[in-house]
Amino acid sequence: MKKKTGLLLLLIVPVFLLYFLSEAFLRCAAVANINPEQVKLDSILNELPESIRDVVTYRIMHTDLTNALAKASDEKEKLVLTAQLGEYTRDLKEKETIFRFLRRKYPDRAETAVAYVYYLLREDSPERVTVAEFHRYLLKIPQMERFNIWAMALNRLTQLKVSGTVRMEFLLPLLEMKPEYRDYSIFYTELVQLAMKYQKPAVANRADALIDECRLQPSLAETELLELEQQNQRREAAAQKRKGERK
Amino acid sequence: MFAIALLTLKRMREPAFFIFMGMSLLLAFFFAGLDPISQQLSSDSIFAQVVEANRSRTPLLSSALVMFVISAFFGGFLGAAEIPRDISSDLILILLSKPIRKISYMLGKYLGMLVICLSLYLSSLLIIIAAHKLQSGEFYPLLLMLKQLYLSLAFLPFCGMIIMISCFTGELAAMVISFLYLVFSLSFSFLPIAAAMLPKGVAGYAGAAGFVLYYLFPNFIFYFQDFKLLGLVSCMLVIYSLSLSIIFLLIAVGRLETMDYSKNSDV
Repeated sequence: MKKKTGLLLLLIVPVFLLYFLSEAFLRCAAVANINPEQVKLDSILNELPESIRDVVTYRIMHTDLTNALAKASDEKEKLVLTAQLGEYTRDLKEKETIFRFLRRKYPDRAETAVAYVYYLLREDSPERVTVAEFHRYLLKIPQMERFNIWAMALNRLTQLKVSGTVRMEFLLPLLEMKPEYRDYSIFYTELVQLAMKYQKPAVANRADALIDECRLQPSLAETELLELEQQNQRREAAAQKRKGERK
Repeated sequence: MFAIALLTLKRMREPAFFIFMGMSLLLAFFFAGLDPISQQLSSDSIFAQVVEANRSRTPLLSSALVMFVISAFFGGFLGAAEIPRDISSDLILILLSKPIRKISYMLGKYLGMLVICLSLYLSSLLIIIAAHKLQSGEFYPLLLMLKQLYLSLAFLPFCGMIIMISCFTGELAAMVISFLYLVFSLSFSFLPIAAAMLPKGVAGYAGAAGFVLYYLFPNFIFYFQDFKLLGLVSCMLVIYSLSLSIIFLLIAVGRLETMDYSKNSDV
């Protein structure tokens, strides 16, 4: 029996060695056949088993964001990428570290909104942001960026399944501002609906009046487009001026 | 060993084999006109690049690939039931009471199954070549025909795999598990190639776990890749096929050595 086992071991070891050696060689040969410039990332991911496709996609995105953050030179770009990384990461520890850093170092910036929204009414965290704190932060942000932050926060409240009264209270500061963009009408519309439901006619009337005011304002998309056009015009004008100076 | 192989080859006289052979030859005739695989795939697909990298001027024919799959399916269907049937009918006890060792019995079954698969595939290849001659009036170049023969090597681990699985399960279960194992093998075959294309460190632990799983399956993509007919890759392909077959057969022998045949008997 011992002789048999010895013989078997004597056979198994070289067989496994040959297997790993030939497998590695054939794998290299197969990989060498591929021209990396012709391969799209999507086609690689599509050929991976479904079970690990999601993990690999996440790792690629995470690595891309981390690399971009390491390469970023100006502060705004760094801030945007840090916020994106904080939002994208699935590592809770990393997420909280990033969000805490953003809130402490950039408490008045629109890019920090993801951190405020993350901690909004988060009961299990000592970093919890109350509705009042969130309003204080919101009022520091220009109306153009503020719109998206309102929308993100409302999404968070929907996820938390808070009551209608909490939702209405959350929207109340909107009554004290003069809307500069048409898009805000959707928040006022929701406020009207909630006020009617909870019998607050004063709130409903004021929100209704602000909806009318919204209609007179430009939309966010229009404003962004206009700003982009103006930027292009300025760039073209500067380029022409430089050409003229050279002549 | 050869006596056992001949016993398995007796299945080639059964109507089931003739039906499968007839179907294979008919399908080979219909698929004979297909373009090479690389022309049927999008050029940015990884598989297309692995299959045709301009290393050799002899492409793998789609018809040969299709017939390889069909022959493997039919051969696997016939071969997977061999050992479980011997066990359930107690034929194995009679055979092993003769001066035949378990390893010889298993090798005989393996050889028998290999001959069945090869006869299905090679006869299909002959039909493909004949059909091409009929359609175009000329034979395929000799090297191109030789390239199609390389696919026969894949039958070595394939038959070993079927024999190994059939040592652990019943007739029907062996067929089903073999099929599932094959599907997983093909799925995991792309893993190392895809992982090599990803940026370093991206796959992380998932990649390592994927590789552990990958080594549990044979990689049939190696047989379809583009390589010089007589080179190092072809040598490695032979070594890979043989070593993998031996691993499968060793597992099968281990199972046969430790098996209690009386428990599986139908009698």
